[in-house]
Amino acid sequence: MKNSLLIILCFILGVLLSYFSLFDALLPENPNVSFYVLCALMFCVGMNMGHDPDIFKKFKNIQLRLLLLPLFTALGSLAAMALLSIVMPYKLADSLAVGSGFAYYSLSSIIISHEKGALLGTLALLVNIFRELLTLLLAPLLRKVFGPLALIASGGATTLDVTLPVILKTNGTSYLVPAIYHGMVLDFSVPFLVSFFCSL
Amino acid sequence: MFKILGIMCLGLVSGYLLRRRKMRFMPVLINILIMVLLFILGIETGSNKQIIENLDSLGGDALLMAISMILFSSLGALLLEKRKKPQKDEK
Repeated sequence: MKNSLLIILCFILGVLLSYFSLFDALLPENPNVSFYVLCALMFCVGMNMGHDPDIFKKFKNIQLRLLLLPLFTALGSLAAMALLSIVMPYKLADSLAVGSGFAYYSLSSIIISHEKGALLGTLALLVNIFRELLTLLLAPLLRKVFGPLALIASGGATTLDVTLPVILKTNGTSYLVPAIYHGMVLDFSVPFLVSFFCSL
Repeated sequence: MFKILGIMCLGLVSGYLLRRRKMRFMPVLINILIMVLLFILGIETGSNKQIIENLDSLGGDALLMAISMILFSSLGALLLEKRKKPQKDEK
């Protein structure tokens, strides 16, 4: 928990610095900086695991049951949005479109802005960013209360990249393959599901 | 996405080749990189006017939606987790 608080503090520090424009002078405007850091991070995560002598044993113990996890994540997320659409002032199809971002905020918000306008697009952006941040912040708690699979489910499509290091740290490296598989399936499903619910 | 996976595989291979060397600094380095990444994501979020300007009006709705989805997908995952245990006992 201490560690994830530290992570969120870094995030908040970044938000505050850029909000008060303190960082403009220090950092040249390069939209790819976060991508390069992510690449460095993934290289280190890979290296740390390749270095582990038991890594191939861990790969073998993949349960077929885990193949269903992305489906349960998607159904859980959509069920939550369907229930919320009853009490909130958003249409069912719109709510489901926002929910099918599965924390993949960049892509989902772009599609939704284009199809449904800026308001819903912004909502999608916020919802999916919050989902990613809350997963990072609550990782130890989610694992403790609901178990290791819930942490992966919570991360949605981001279990492939941004939340993967935190998942491996919280759940252990044996969850590498389930997390990557889960992230990939949901990643691919985002453009299809979001466009589908936008068309309804 | 495939670039990122490719880079991780590259890391896996290099880690495997260097497996005789001690790499105690690696978990610390990973931690630092996670923090740097989140710091940069924070900067990107803070400088995104679309997010900051709508935080007042849409932030509450968005937070409720995000928490509900995390809760419900966690419950979905819990179903899979619980079904796993009796199977293990049978073996």
